[in-house]
Amino acid sequence: MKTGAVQKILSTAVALAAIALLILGSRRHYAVRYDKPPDLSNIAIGGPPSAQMPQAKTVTQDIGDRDLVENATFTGVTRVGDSLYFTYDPSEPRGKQACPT
Amino acid sequence: MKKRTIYQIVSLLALHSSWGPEAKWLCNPVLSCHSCVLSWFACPIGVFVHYSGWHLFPWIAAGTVLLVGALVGRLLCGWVCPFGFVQDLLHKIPSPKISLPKWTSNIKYLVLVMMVFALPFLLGEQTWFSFCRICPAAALQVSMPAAIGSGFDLTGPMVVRFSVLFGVIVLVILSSRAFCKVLCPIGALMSPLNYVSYWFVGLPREQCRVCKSCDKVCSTDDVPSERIRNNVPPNRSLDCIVCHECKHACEEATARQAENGAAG
Repeated sequence: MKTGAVQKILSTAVALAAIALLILGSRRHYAVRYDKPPDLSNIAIGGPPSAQMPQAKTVTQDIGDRDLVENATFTGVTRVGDSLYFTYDPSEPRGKQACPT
Repeated sequence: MKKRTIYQIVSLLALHSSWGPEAKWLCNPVLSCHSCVLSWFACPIGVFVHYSGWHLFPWIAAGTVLLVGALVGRLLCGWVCPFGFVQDLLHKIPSPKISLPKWTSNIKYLVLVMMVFALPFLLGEQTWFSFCRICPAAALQVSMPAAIGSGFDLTGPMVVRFSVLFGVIVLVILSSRAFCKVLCPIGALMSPLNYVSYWFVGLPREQCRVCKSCDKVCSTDDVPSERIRNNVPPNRSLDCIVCHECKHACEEATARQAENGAAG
């Protein structure tokens, strides 16, 4: 009982397709946004109201498919409309995270 | 102890031995929840659910699963999967044993299409209708410790998971690897790759005496003798978990036959 030539060709084709997916995936990047909360540290309590309150700023970070897989393991990214958003502050160290699902 | 059992114990411990570091960018195609604090790798089902919700193609996750399948088919189901090992242990509990109808093995493809791809795509990755919400491995690895930690203050999602887990446990005690045959979406993903994998279970057809020893020990009631008689490796089947029990049974039956022949 041996594996025939056709079988080997099929196996090789599937393996090559898998490697192609991995190579293409390693080159993929995704723009993921984060709404950085405003920095209120300079607001003086009890002082005169300032003309402009600091606003939240939308920061966009470019991450690879590998990082996106990691974020998938704890719902670190969510889709809002046509855009992806971080569900946590990506500039802070996050440690081990559990998926809320 | 069988060699396969040793591999399963080592895999169970190795896959859940993280003291902090992790490689969650790598999908390991076995049923093990990546929310377990001890897990090293990602579960492909959880990753596919999220990518479906994001409307993105999971290049690296899909490539990893496809590569493992092309190399070894469903070998990991039989030798590495921790939940498969749990099923093997549960099936040893004495009870009446049943064979599930053949059509039930198609249910897992429906589970894969609906609860891993379609419903998360339509309703978002957090949908209540994703497979992760009912996963029995997640129930054991994540919900159970959380329930114990909270003094059994059970939430709705925990109740759902524990109900599914209870049903799976009962089914598996009655029918070997019932979850693998009927519900496992990873099994559904990997099944077609059994036909194209480099790995195959080699059995000498010319020695086949149609004793059906292989059928009696098949973990998934898959009737490997039909393929062996046609000179097809027994793992070229959607439901084979490549456990090699058929091969061992054949070798033992052949050895017994030779001993009886020598004695007689």
